[in-house]
Amino acid sequence: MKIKAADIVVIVLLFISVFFIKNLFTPSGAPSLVLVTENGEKNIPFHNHLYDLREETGHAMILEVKDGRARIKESDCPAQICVLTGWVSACGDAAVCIPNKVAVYVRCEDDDKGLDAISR
Amino acid sequence: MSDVKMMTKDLTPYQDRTALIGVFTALSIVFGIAENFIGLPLPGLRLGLANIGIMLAITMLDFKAAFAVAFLKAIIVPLVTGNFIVKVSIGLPATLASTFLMLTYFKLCGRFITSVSMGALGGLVHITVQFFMAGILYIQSPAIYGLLPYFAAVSTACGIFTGYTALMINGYLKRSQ
Repeated sequence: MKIKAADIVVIVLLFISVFFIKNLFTPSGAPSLVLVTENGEKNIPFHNHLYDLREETGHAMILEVKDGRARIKESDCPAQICVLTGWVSACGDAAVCIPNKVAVYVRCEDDDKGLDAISR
Repeated sequence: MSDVKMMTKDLTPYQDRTALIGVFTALSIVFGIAENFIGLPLPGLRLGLANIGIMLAITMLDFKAAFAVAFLKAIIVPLVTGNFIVKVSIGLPATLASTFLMLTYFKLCGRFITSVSMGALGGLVHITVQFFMAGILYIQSPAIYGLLPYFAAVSTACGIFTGYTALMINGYLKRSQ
């Protein structure tokens, strides 16, 4: 019982597909930047700016918007997953910090309808 | 099936198969409970050791047996570990979908592959369907899909590990006859 060559090919293909799997679930459309906190959602303009999220979240977090992209620049959460996510710009991209209950994501137009079409 | 028959000559093939389903289900359930205590870098993610029993059922038995093991595992493990409704609503579709795809994959190209890549496929499908169900039922925000690539990569790696374990167990079972 040894690993076969086709196994390695399939495993490599599966690892490549990891990067595209997200696209199955995310729609396309005009993007807008949304900040989700415990208190609700807030739209953020795409102007270059640094936001201090201490008031909204109660945590030492800094959100940076630059050149149509956004990222969480600093955070006091332990795993730093949101910081390591880096820039988010495409539809459905998100930087999420679960311990601080904060997420920044790019929402696209047809996101909140939930349905593709309704026939009457 | 035929090599399994050699092991227990005093049982009919039917009893033999039923006994093996029970053994694989028990293996899956014990692993499913035990892996709750094994931590991984990402929260909520588990090794998927329970998949070993399902993969053994796929490689050694038939599709009905594999689904029986998968279904029983997906119901009984949450029953023991708690938070039943949430875990079953997310985990049962994921387990059944990954079992179905692993079975199809094994039936179509079983001659060319081993359970290593089958486990990797199962891990990837399992985590994807889990995210899909959680997105539909509980979180309802596309933001969670931002986390999916990390979870999918770790899950695929875990799938390779469990697939290799299943391959080794399969080898020992064949050699012991």
